[in-house]
Amino acid sequence: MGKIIEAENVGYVYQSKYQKTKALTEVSCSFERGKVYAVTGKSGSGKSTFLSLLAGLDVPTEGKLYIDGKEIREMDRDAYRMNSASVIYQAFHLFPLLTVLENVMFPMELQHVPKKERKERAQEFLAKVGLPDTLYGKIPNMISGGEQQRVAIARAMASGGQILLADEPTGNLDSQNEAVIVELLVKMAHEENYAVIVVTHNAKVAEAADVVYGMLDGRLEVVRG
Amino acid sequence: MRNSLKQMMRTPVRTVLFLILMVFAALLMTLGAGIWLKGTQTMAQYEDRFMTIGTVRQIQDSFEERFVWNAETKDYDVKKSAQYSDYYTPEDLLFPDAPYLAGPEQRAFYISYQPDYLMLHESLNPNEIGWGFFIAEFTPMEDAMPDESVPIQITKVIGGDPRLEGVVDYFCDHNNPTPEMLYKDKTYVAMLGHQATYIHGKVYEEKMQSNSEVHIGLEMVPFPLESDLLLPDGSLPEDPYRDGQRIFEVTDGFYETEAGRRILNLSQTAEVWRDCQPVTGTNRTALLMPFYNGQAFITEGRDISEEEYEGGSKVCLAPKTFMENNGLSLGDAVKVQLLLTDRKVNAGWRFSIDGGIGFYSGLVDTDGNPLEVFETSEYTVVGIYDVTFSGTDSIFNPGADELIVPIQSIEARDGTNLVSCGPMTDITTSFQIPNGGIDDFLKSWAEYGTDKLAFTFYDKGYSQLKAGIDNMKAISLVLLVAGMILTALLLFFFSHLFITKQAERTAIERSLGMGKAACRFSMLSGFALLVLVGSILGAVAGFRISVDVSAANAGETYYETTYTAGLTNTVDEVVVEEAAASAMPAVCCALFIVAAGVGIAWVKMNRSLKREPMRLLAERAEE
Repeated sequence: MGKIIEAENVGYVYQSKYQKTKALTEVSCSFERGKVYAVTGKSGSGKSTFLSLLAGLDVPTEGKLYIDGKEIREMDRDAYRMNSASVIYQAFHLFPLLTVLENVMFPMELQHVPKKERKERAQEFLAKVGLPDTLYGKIPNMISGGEQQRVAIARAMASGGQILLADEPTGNLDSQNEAVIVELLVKMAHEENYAVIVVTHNAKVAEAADVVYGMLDGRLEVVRG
Repeated sequence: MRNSLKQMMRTPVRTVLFLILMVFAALLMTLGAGIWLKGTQTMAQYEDRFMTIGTVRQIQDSFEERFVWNAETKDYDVKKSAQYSDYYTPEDLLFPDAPYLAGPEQRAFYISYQPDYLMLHESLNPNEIGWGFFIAEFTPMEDAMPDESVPIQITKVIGGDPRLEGVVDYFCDHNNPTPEMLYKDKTYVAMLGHQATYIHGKVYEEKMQSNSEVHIGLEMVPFPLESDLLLPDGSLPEDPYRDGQRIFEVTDGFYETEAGRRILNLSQTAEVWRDCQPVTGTNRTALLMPFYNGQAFITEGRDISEEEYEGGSKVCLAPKTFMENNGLSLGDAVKVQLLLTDRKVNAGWRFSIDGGIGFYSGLVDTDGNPLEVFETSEYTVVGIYDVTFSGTDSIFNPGADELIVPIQSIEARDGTNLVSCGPMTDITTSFQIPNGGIDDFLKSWAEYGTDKLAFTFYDKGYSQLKAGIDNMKAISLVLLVAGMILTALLLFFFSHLFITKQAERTAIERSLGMGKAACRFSMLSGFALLVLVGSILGAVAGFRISVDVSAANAGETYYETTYTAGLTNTVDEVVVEEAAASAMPAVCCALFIVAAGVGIAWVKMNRSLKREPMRLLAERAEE
């Protein structure tokens, strides 16, 4: 299995008008398809910044970050997020005014997939994450947190990319739903060949990961791998 | 855009409320702007049509009491006359930055001797007997003291209507406290005429006691033989006949005496009044109140042009009756022979448009020689005017047969053969100032001028009209500002709801790979569409209402403001046409609102886009 993401001495400095804050320092690591990676660490350790760089929402201020062998600065990062990488969040971040089905169809709409096809595929993804079709027409506020996170995962699948980035995906869930989501993430990596990178505090999520990194003061270390 | 609208439609209350409020705000703005523009356009139209004229009256310093004997009451009547230490002139009305559009003029009118033309009074009363005054020899019917009405017979008319010869009438030396006895075997001569005194004394009582129906008429009185001529400065020259003898006994050689010669000279002018025509010199037709008021109006031809006025062209406006009575047409010449100058009143005062004439009796110089024509010219008629009789009690009445000429065309305009002189009055002195300038004028005058001059302004209701339109404009401005403020508040508030509060949506879209431009379009399109629809609906509604409001106001306003060529005097006709309703305010307001909406939304959208999505979404997770 080839490396889909590779970081070489990646650093990131937040620069405001009055001060500079170093969020990441010389981070070097790589991620492969078919594996679940957990990045653990305290709040403010740089986990979310790292995830933001991996999602192409920003670029490193130091070092190099390769996606499928291409340096991220040279890529169309909007296209990268649209077609290759998806992010799920602790607070789910679904479109609150679109239905469950419309939320999942949304990434395909950006890719100009015909309406009929995107509807069928959305239904397919929702079925994969185990959401009953009675919920497809509901808006996110009308379903539970676990169900919302499953919709978020289905939406991530709908983008068609092979990189799934998750920021505390179980942070707002009870233990039962937490187990379901973790199982889904593992399944995506192991059965669907996604590279799943999860930023988490949760020991159970870290336990389920194939590789665990620890982040401390902006430096990344392998904890288990 | 579809997703954007879909999401908006899923908050229908908020969306519909925004739409309704936007419609209302646009309506207010358009209504305000529409009415304001309409008011401005209307005022601009009125500016051209209206004219503000001021008239001037000098206030007397005091009154002089004069005692005049009244033979009927056997007592003195007190006659009061205004006294002026000095006459102010139009030059005294000039002050720094004086805002005259037409400078002040104190008009004289001139009397032209026109034996070759038929005058109005003759056309109306072809057999009129000249009772006004005449010079005749008479004999009392019996010896009598003329301290009351006594019968006399006119034996010989020396100057005046010969049909009076042989007439028996009543006579009284009414204003003489010490009259002399008249004897029936003697012949007397005097300038006779009627004044406002009726038959009185024994004759009156006898007539009243008789059973027959009697007619109590005016008595004849003797006039002084004084010259009416004034010195060029308006003062009275020395004249022994002013308060002198009025009745003379005709003896052999009487007409060789100085008094006799004066009587003969005066008799030569006794019939002059029949052939006289007033000629008014001015710098602008509009300064003549009959024209300004619409009592006089040009029916054929044109007004005298500015160039003709300034250059003193020999052109005139002539009354329709004069033209018809003399078979004249537009473009014909009228021969004018100026004989007298009157600086005290206007032509209408002496030559009434109903045909009556109040003429001068002493048309001789102080040496007793008859006055002669001092200037002869031919004037081309460029305009024919007609007059209405609706205002015949007005002090501004035009004169019968009055010719209007440029004052500069009269060489001896400064007052040759001056027979009457007085201060500036409302009927002789006027000027034009800018519309709406009355208050400023009076304020400046209070600073520079004298309180001995009083002004009356005529603006045909312009001030009230302007005040009304200014009120309407003030209200429209309030509407406009209220609409703008409401628009701004709505745009800020709802852009906060639809854009700033949707930062999460933007962040999600960004994290799903939507570019910044696409995100911007996605978010702005729905908001902009609502603003566009709201502003168009509001602008259309505001436009309709502003048209209706303006039409309603126009329907209540009727003004007659012109005297110009070809227009007859139709008092109830709307002469100020309403400007076509302009959709410009509606278009501008709609564009303004859309531009403001997109601008505000753009700024807020940029702020949302500046926030790093992952950080924003992570922050929200922590919330």
